[in-house]
Amino acid sequence: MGKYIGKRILQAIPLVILISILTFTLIQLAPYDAVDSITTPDMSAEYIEALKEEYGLNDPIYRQYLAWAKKTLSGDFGYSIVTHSNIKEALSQRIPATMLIVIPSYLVALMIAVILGLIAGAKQGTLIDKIVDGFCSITMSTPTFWMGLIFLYIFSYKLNWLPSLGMYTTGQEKSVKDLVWHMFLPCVTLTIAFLPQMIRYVRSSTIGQLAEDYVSVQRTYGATEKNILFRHVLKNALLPLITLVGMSLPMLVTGAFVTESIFSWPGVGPYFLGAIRGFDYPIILVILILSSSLVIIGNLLADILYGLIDTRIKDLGNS
Amino acid sequence: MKVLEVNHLETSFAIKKNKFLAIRDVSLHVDEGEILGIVGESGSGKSVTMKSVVGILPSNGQVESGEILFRGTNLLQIKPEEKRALLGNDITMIFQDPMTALNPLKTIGYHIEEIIIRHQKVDRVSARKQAEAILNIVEIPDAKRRLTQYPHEFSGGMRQRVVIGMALVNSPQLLIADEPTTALDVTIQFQILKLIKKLQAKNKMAVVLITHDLAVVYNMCHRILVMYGGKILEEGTRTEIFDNPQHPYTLALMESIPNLESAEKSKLEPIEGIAPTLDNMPAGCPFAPRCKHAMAICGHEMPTKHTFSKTHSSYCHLNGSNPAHGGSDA
Repeated sequence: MGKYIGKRILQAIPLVILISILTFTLIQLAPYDAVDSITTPDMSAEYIEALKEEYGLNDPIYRQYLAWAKKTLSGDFGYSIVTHSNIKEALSQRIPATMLIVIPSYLVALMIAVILGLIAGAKQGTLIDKIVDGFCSITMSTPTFWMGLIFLYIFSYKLNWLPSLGMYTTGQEKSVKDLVWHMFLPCVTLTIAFLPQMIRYVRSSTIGQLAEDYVSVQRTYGATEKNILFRHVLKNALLPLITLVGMSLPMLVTGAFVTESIFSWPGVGPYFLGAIRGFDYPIILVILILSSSLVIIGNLLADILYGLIDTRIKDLGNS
Repeated sequence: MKVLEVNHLETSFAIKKNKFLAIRDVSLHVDEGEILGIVGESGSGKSVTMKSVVGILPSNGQVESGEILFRGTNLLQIKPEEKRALLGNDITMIFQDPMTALNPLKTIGYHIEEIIIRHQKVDRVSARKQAEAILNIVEIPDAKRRLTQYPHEFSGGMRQRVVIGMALVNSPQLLIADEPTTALDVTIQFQILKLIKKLQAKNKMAVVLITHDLAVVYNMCHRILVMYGGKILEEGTRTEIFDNPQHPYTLALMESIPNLESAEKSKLEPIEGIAPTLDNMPAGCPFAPRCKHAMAICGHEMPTKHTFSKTHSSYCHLNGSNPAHGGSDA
């Protein structure tokens, strides 16, 4: 197993490097001069040239890349070229804020999805399956921003039960109750957004497992349906979910762009969208690298976990 | 003593809202200590008959009428929990494909112990002891270690031994073996059959062996049923069927076996045509369209049972004028 993990990590490193080169190059190719975002029309050409020199924008691309990579690796993400604020500092507040709504929503969605997916899969074709399936179809085709706005309209504006924006009520920054209150709507919106894909995943996986030969063998040996579902099918059906969860790891950073924007949640979403609008390329680069690294790490973790649970894969890695 | 008795069983399948009878008026019985072979080609209904007995028909299948008596109890009329108490305990089954019969994420030990605990209500320790013993009985070496391993660590033949172990661990009275060796290569096939026969004789089990392999039937079975198109066409002891086949279909089956021992060059006689499908079942004898000896009556009227001895009977309009010995060729 150790050998397998080591092999997988070694494979991941060149991938991260490749992604960073690609992202960096793509930004360079954009029809836009990075210096434009810090200049104003009344600046002299000499001044602009000096700025370019200062930011290293006149160096060849590979030199710029190496300089940037070296800085990033040492943990220095640089400064926003628009607001001149420290990117690392900004992210260290915004990433936890995003996680604060993404993690609970994801976990709740996962739990609901396992229960509903398992029931729907086990009772395929019955009324309850059709209800679950209908719920999935509706929520899947509902845009998150629209759902968020509807929630805002009903629960904040009409009923005035829940706050409509931000993380805190001014003056109550330390209150956990106030925070949870503010988290409520964004979390519900996110949970509903996460749900349909997960339910469908669990449902089809359950149906697939129930059609396996070993299930009918168990029936022939006197196992009850409940017994088959919980002792045999459950673990096998949830196994592919590991991959889904692993691939969701980048959501910790990028999982709630739309929702955060609707609810003015001070997470990574609004920060990133703002950076794109202002062509604040140091921010764009850092977030892209971060999320793509998380994709790779997520896949790696999923593979390792898979190997630990399914011994067939572990043995494959050793041979 | 009859362990299993099936009377006038009819099983149907629903295909696109139409019902088709896959099993038509099948009656059979197996005695204690007896191996009954059911032979027939794919789609003849041999597997469906036994799936009806155990109650694992696919969701569109249904037993329409008849009775299935296990030691006198009609399995079609008892409660599901009473049925489950019998399954895996008094009635067990071995399947065609040992590669998929086991849950890939559970150890071999778990599979066997689960069945022991389910039916004997004993604790894990005692179940483990029994599981170890049964692996020894089905001749899997190094039983203690093997119990902790997963199915993928076993070869096909070894997995079939595990399944046989699962089937025998609660000392069943009836074992149904549905093509137990079809997925295995010939040398392993021989070992597995020898094992089944040995354990059957030791436990005085009744065994129903479903196969399309006549050599297997010849080596294993006391009595033989020949099925075709959902019906029994001929029934008899091993000697009666092999030495004196009465139905043209049985005869055709015999002729389609290659004979390696015969010195003279004999041509292999395949049976022309294909077996009828459910939605295209002939009105009379199901074999009539492919039968070399078919007469006008065969096409529209199902022949009645013709008895040759206490154990030997056949359903054919030739009524014993054995085609092998110069019957009508009309």
